Order: sequence, then C-alpha cells, then structure tokens
Amino acid sequence: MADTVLSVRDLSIEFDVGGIARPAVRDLSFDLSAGEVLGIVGESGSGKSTILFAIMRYLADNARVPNGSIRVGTQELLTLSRRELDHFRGNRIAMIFQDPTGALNPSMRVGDQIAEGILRHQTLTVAEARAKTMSWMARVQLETPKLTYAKFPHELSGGQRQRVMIALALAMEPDVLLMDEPTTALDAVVQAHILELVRTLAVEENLALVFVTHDLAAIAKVADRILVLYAGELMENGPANLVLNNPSHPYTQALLKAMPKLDWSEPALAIPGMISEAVDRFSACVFVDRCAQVKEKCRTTRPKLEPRRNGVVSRCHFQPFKPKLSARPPRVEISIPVKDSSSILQLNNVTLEYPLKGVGLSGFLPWEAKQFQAVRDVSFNVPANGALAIVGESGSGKSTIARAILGLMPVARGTLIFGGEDIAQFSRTRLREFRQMVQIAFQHPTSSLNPRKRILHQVARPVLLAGQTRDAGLQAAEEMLSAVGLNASFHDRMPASLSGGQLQRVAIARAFVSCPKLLILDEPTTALDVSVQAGILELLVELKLNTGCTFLLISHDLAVVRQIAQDILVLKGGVVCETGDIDQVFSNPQHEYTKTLLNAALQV
Amino acid sequence: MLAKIISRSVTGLFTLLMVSLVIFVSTQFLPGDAAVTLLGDNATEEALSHLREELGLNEPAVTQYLRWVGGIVQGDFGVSQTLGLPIGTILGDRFIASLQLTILTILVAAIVAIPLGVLSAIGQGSTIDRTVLSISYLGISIPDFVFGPLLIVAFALPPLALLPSSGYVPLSDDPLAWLRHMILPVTALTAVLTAHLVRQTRSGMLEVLKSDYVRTARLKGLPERQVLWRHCLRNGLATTLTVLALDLGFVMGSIVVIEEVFAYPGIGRLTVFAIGDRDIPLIQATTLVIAATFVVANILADIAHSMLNPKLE
Amino acid sequence: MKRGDIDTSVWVGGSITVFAVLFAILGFFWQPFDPLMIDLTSRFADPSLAHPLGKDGFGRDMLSRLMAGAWKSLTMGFGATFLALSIGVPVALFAGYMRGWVDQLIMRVVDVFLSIPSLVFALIIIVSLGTSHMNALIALGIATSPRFVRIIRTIVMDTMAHDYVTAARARGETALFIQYREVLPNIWPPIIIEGSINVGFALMAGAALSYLGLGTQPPAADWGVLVRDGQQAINQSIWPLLGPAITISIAIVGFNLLGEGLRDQIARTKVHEHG
Repeated sequence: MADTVLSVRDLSIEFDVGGIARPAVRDLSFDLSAGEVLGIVGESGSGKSTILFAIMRYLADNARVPNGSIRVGTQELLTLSRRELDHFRGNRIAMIFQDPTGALNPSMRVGDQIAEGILRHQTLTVAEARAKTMSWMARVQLETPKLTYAKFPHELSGGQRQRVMIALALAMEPDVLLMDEPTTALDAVVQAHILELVRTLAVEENLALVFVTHDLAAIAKVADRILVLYAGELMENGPANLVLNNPSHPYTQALLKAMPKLDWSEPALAIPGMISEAVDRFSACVFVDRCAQVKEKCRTTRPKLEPRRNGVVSRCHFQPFKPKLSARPPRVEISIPVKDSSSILQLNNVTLEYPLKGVGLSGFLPWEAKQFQAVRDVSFNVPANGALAIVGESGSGKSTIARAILGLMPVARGTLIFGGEDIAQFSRTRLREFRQMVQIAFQHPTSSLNPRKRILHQVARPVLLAGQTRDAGLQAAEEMLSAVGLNASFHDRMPASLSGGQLQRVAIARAFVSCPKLLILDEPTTALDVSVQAGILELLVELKLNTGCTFLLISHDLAVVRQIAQDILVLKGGVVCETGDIDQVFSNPQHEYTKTLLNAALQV
Repeated sequence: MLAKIISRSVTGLFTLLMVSLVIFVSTQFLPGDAAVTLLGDNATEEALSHLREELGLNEPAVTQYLRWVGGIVQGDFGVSQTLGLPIGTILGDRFIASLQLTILTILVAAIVAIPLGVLSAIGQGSTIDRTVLSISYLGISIPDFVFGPLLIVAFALPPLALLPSSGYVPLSDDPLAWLRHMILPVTALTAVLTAHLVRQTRSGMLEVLKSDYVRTARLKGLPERQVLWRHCLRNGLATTLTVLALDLGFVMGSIVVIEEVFAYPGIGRLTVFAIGDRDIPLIQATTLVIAATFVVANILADIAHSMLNPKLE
Repeated sequence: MKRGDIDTSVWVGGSITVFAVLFAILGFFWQPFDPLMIDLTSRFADPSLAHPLGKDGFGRDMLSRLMAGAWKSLTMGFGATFLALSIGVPVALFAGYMRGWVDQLIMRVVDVFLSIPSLVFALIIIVSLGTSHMNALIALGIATSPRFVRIIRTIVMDTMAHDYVTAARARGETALFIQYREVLPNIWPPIIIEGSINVGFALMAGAALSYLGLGTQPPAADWGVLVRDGQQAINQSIWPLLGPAITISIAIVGFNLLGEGLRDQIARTKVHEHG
C-alpha cells in the first residue's frame, strides 16, 4: 500500500503485576492507509484498548513494550520524547473514548475545550479558533453551535457529548483517529447516527481510522477491514465483508455464531469455556481450550499468521472446515409451551412517579415536592407461561416497571393484578407467597451477589425465607446450581472468584430455586461478552422449557429479545408505543418509533 | 446564583435555630438546682425562690427558650451570673480577638498548604512528596495543646525569648505588638490545619490527575503545565475548599484549647471559664456564637464551591 | 492479600499501637513508683536511671504518672470511638435503608449536630453531665457520632445500590436482615478504618479536655493533665512537659499511620482487583 499512515509491527505489551510480567498483546502487526477504517473487534481481555493506548503512548506505569514498532508516516512513536509527543498527540493522532461524560472537563465550556486543541496545534487567533470550533460543531451535527459552545458538559446529552468529543478530535486535523468503543455507552438510535457520522467524516477527512469495539454489528457498519483479536493475539485480519461473511478462523466463526440474530434465522450458540489469561498462553494457540475444531498440533505449537485468499490473514494451523450446519435445536422448540389465554400479571393504567429533588429547603416542603412521571398510564398483560419483552432505550421507564411489580416503589395510579388479585390489597401472608412466586435477575453480575457470602448460601436463601429447613434449602440450592451448569466445586466459593458468566448463572439459580411463577429478567446479558451471552440465553430458554415459568424480559437489545420473547411491548418516554406478538411486530411494525428502533438495530 | 445564596442562607438560619435548641436543651435543664449552684447550699429558701423567679426558672421550658432566642435576636444575650455584666458587652471584644486568630490561621494554612499539596501530588512518589507527607504526618499527630507549650519553651523562654508567651494587644493599639502576640498561637493552630489541608489537597489533586478529562487534555497534546493550570487546579481546589470549610470546625475547637495555652482573651477561653464556673447564660452565648461562625463560614464556602463548579450552580 | 504486601506505615503504626496498648495495660496494674507519692525533697529532679523521665513539681515520678495516665488516655480514645460507632453505625444503616424522607430527616438532624464543632459540642455535653473522665468519654463519643453517621451512611447508600440488596428487598427479607446481614458485612473494612483514625482523634480530644480541666480530675492524671502540669512548670524544668508531650504525639502518630495505612492499602487492593 502506497500511502500507509499507521504501521504497527510486532508490537508486544505486558503489564508488571506484582513482579510477574503478564502479557497483554503479543507480536501484533497491521497497516492502515489514509481513508481506511480498521475495525478491531475483541471481547474483554483481548487487549484491544491497550493497543490504542500504546499507540497514544499513554500506557499505565506498569506497562512494558518489550518489542515492536509503531509508525505514523515515517515517524517512530515509541522513541519520541515527552516534548515531541506533545506535538504529536492531537496533531497527528487523536483519540476518542467510550465514556464521553468523564472525558470532558466538567468545569470548562465545551467550546473552549475544542478550541484549546486547535490553538495548541494550529497558528490561529483565538477568534479564528472559535469560528473553527463552531464550524466543526456544525459538522458533527450539534445544533445551534453558538449556544452549545458556551455550555458545560453536564448540560448536554450523552450523544451530544460524544459529538463534542469527535469535533474536539477532528478539529485538530489529525491523520489518524483512534476510537475506543465510542458508541457502546449510547442508545441504539443515537449509536446508529454516530456510526453514520463517523463513516462520513472518515471519508471526507481522508482519515486513517481505528475503531475498537466488542460489537461485531457496530463494526460491520463502519469498517473497511476487520482485525479480530483474542487474548492478546491477532486471530484474523482481512476485508470486512470477507471476515464477516466467510470467516477463516474458528474463533471468528464461533463469535459470529454466538451473536443473536434479529431475524431469528438461527439461535445464538455459546462458545464454551473462558478466555485464557495464562502467562504462557502464547506457547500454543490461545483459543485452544474453546475451539470446536482443536487438533493435537494446536496444543503444542503457536500458529503463524497464514495468508489466505483475498488479503485475509489467519492465525490457525488449519484451513478451517466449512462451517457446517451443526445440530442446533430447531427454532420452533422455543415456542412449544403454549401460552395460556389467561394472564399471570396485568397492569391497568399504571402511572409511576419519582420525587424530584429541589434545591435547599424547597425539596422538603410537601407542597413544593414535584414528581417526575417515569411511566404514564401503562396497561399490559403478561400471559401465563408466556414470555413478554419490554423494550426501550434508557429513560423509557422499563426498569421502573420492574421495580413497581416487585413492590420496590409505590404505584401512583392504576392497579397491578397478579393471579386475579390486586397486589396493593395483598395480606401479609399473600404478599410473602407473592414474593416467592416472583423473582428477578439483574444486569450486573458482580452487583447481584453479596461479595461476602458463599455461593451455595446465597442460592439457598430464598428457600429458607419460605420457611423450609436449612437442609432442604441447601439441597435445593445444590440441585439448582448443577442445573445451571455449576458443579459442587462452586458451592463454597466467594463471588469474587467467579467470572461474569458464572456469576450470572448463580443469580439465575437463586431466582429459580424457589420455583417462581414469574421471572423478571432485567437486561440479563447486557454486561456479558457475546460468547458468554449466548450461553446464558441458551440456559434461560432451557429453564423456561423445563419449568414453564413466565418471563418478563427487560432489554434494549432487540436481537436478544428475539431469542426469548413471544410478545413484545415497546416503551418510549414512559408511554407504550406498540405491543403484540413479536413476529408480527418485527415483520410489520405499526408505530414510527418501533420502526426507528428496528432500523437502528445493527446486524452483521 | 442569587437563588442559591438565598436558599443557602435560609437553610443556614434554620440550622442555627436548631443549634440554639440543642445548646439550650442540653445546658438549661441540668440535674440539680441552678439557684442552689449560684447561691450555695447555705442560702435561705426565700433567697432561692427569689432568684428562681428572677432567672425565670419557674416558667415552662418553651417560654424560657423563646425568651432566650428572642433576646438574642435583639442583641441581648442575657446577664453573666458570675461576672454580673450583660454578656453582649463581654462578648464583642473577645469575639473579635478570636476572629483575628481564626482568619489568620486559615490564611496561613491555605497559603502554605495548597501549593505544597499540589506540588506533592504532581510529583507523587518524589522526594518532595515524601518529605511533605512525612512532615504532615507529624503535623496531624502532635496535639495543639502539646505543640503550643513546646513552642513556648522554644521561642518564649530563655535562651531565645523572642516572643511573648501569652496575652493579646489590639491591632489598633500597637500593630507590632499585635503581630508578636499572634505568631505563636497562629503557628500552633496552623500546624494541624496545614498538615490536614496538604493531605486533602494532595489526594484531591491525585483524583483529578487520574480523571478521564485530564487524559483527554494530555492526549490533545497539551503540555503538562497547561494541563495542570487549565484542567486540574480549578477542579482540584473545589475539593480543597470543601475540606477547608469542614476543617474550620476543627479550628474552632482548637481555638478553645489554644487560647487557654496562650492565655489569649478570646471567646474560647471565655467558654472554658464559663464552664468552670457553671455560668450557664455565658456558656449558652459563647457556644452559640462559635457555632454560628462555623455555620456562616460553611455557607460562604458552599457558595464559593458552586461558583467553581458549574454543575452545582 | 499476601503478608509481604503490608505497607510500612501499617507495620509501624500497628507496632506503635500494640506497644501503646501494652504500655497502658501494664500501667493499669503496675508502675515503678506510686504515681501519687509526693517527695518535696526531689522536686523537678532531672532524669536519672531510677527516674528516666525525671520528677514533677511534687517530686512524683513522671514515668509512673505517664504509665498510670496511659490507661486513662487510651480508654478515652477507644471508649469514645466505640460509643460513637455504636451510635453511628445503627443510625447510618437505618437511614440508608429507609431512604426517602426518613433519611432526609435524620441527615438534617445530623447536619445540625455537625454544625457545632465537635470539641465545642463535647463541652456542651460536659456542662450537663459534669466533669469526670467517664463523662468526658461519653461526651466525646456522642459529639463524634454525627460524623460517623454521615460517613457510614454514604458507604451504606453505595452498598444499598447493589442489586443483591434489591434482590433481598424483592424477596421480602426483613429490614434487620438487610441492614445487618446483607449490608453490614460488606462495610466493615471502612468502618474499622474510620474507627482507628478516630481513636487517635478521640485520644487527642480527650486529653485536650483534661488539659482544659474538664476531663480527668486531679490527683488522677491522664496525658492531658500531665501536659498541663508540665506547661505550668516550664520555668522550673522542661522534663515534666517533654515526657507526656512526646508520648502522646507518638501514640497518635501510631494510630494515624495504622488507620490511614489500612485505608490506602485497601484502596490499592481494590484498584488491583479491577485490573
């Protein structure tokens, strides 16, 4: 390639943790030309962000770069002095982060933060820099640049802040732009807009762009080439359409199959096992423990990067088998439990409110207390044995509904009917029974288990609370843990020693142990890697088949929803937009917002 | 901003009212008879009941409290039982003397501590940082009532005998003598405060230096000096200011002790004197004035803080 | 956490603390001389082998007085902290659990107490209780408890925000179970750290009260009384001041090093856990 802008050669990075060198990235090489977008995809622990910080020369103090070279143009970055670096950063390479909220100085006007970078690297007057800032604000589609210029970060929305960050980076006119999960913290619709903007600007500015993410679907939208990273090792690198449609590495194949499909053409398949963090993992194939096509050679020899057709390189000893259609469960199986015509839970014109905090005294004076309506006049039925999904973006009120059903917040207006009775009218005994019958699993696996209690005891607790003996509780917990795939070695362990996927299995076991009638799943897989997510989805479907428990799934992810739910309810700003059978809603959405959501949902 | 000031002042006033209630309740209704305490065990029943009448001890508690607060609002703090003088006349000079001590202490502490704390944070782990940290450890650990006498031994006694060991001269009488009398008490008071403030400034700055927006600023290619001045200081100092306001409470406690150490005629020493003689109206007045000063200072710090931090405005 | 990872400050602070406690326990049972034995022939005697810290204005052995006072001063530090924690922890747990207006009301009240400087607050309480070692301890305990409520409540609120607490609420656990079985075990480390820092402060404040004549009453003497007596004698001899001054400072250095060292260490362990 003639105009290679960024060139990384044999880059290795390790972290010194307690005197032991823990390798993060090994022998990474890639090139990037002007006007090209490179997507780096990897799950947590792949070292993807570390690479970006290495390029920015902003690694943590305990990081070492034992070998390798990073060049921008002809300039080697690894040998730059601090002073030279200051002229290089921003000017030649700029970086954008996942969390735009923390990345902006809270006490400085956003316009000034953009202009500051311009003034640093370009010989312009302050007035010219301001003008340039505003024109860039317009280019990243921030409305009313004049007004926005003078705003503080907290006065902007998440999407607007990320636009400010993009303007901040591009106004310095760098050759290379690095983006670290720039859309992960954003809602789907905003994410789609930002991805489009990034794509356009990359072309217009002839940027060499590196886009790092865990999300294959997001990368499919923007990247020309895709580099697949696993446990610090480059697994596959090639043109985007080839990598996505005809992957040549078993890991890439598995990763693609683990992604839930919006059209439900095939169910998501989990990759068994966990990512390796072993210090000596590079002496063999790093994917060896989880690979479905593993051979003896994979265990003993580290594969080289082998060139494949059309400029694809792949780190595998073998030409992988043509991905055969493995014996996966037929899709109809999921809908076997026929949902009853009766409903287990019914919401009638429910309105939910949060008190708004005022300044000083005013918040405490009852007559001045203002309420924020999180959910307004919502009605729906959860059919017994069914699975209803509530979808919406952040702030739509979907989690608030879950809290109200669980009795964690008061119902301002309307009624909740469970099994034919008004929840508000429950007697003490009935309430206790109700709490046995309704359970919840949460989004964040580390948060949903008490760090100071042993796994088995936490799972047993709901049974004990129901008044059963300790032995009965422990036995039920043991059975349930083995049902979610955790053997006896987990019983006495503390949550800190478990992975995210394992923790989520424990949380699900705790929810199921008291044989609930209704299980509320609040974004149950959002915090997990794709390969782990598929395993949890499989587990949930299996448990549903075996127990006949009703699911109320809360999610922002339409593809995940499609794997589990039979009915769907679309919520926006606390109001129901559309509700109905999931197949019908997906194939023929009636409401504008549902259409927008479906269009914004990214697919490979 | 105006709304913020007004609302903060209203809460402050409310707080003060509650504080006055706490003070009044815990000092007015003591076990034992105040009249007996004043007149002694040998007093006649007639004298006692006369005194009770005079002090209003026979009235309901609410009336007593309302009359006390009502008096203070009009500037009448009551009459000292031991000195026999209106408390208002005793309080004024003492309060001003203590206020001078407080303000000087805070100024000195801020001027010394903030640059040291910032330097220490920037050079985390360096010799400067470690020296500052170790000295500040001593600073927070040597009690004021120990440090004060040690200062007297070192500077007020022979062989040096540079400074007076006790007393106070009004600024208007003789500025030089005023200064000479201030140096030792202010030094003793400043020691702990400076040490604490250095540490808080340091950790506040470290927090800011670790933040994502400082990373953004550095990755913009700004030179470190500019990163510090434009991005770190303002945010770091906002924390320091809060700490300073809270530390003021500690200083007000220290003042009571230090005034005793240096026989400094301020409101703290007056409080100790009043407690020693169980002069209830005087105790009530002095403690209320001390608390009020603290409340007002906190309000000022709060307002300044929200000026530094646009998010709070 | 490995043994080898313990900070120097925790080691040094811990050693000083242990030594101070042993010194106090020993001093409770035994002193080389009767601390109250007056010998006017040897007033202000300089340090000697028999009397390593010299003698005071009544010819009393300073080391013996210091040892007897150690018990008083340390019980003040530990006792007041224990009292403050036994008020602060339950109130903070309750406020954090109830949230809403109950929490707001409690915190308003705490704010009122916090707006009285804690030493001054202790003075006010002493006025109603009377002056004695025990009353000073109680006064300090009560006066420092609002600070604990505020600090611990913040920690409780953070812990309450975790989903395992929401899960416990949802499955109908009792308020006491959630406060003391779900939340409390997770907030012990910061409580112990804040507590050990407070021991140093309470020891200091208790001695200050005695210095002002409002704590331990003569002839009994804690370190505060000794410092006052020492200061009154500085024109004759500096030894009666120097002994207690250095002892109390070292003891407080010990408590501070231990508490803050532990705090730093836990903060660092957290960082490591997060990668």
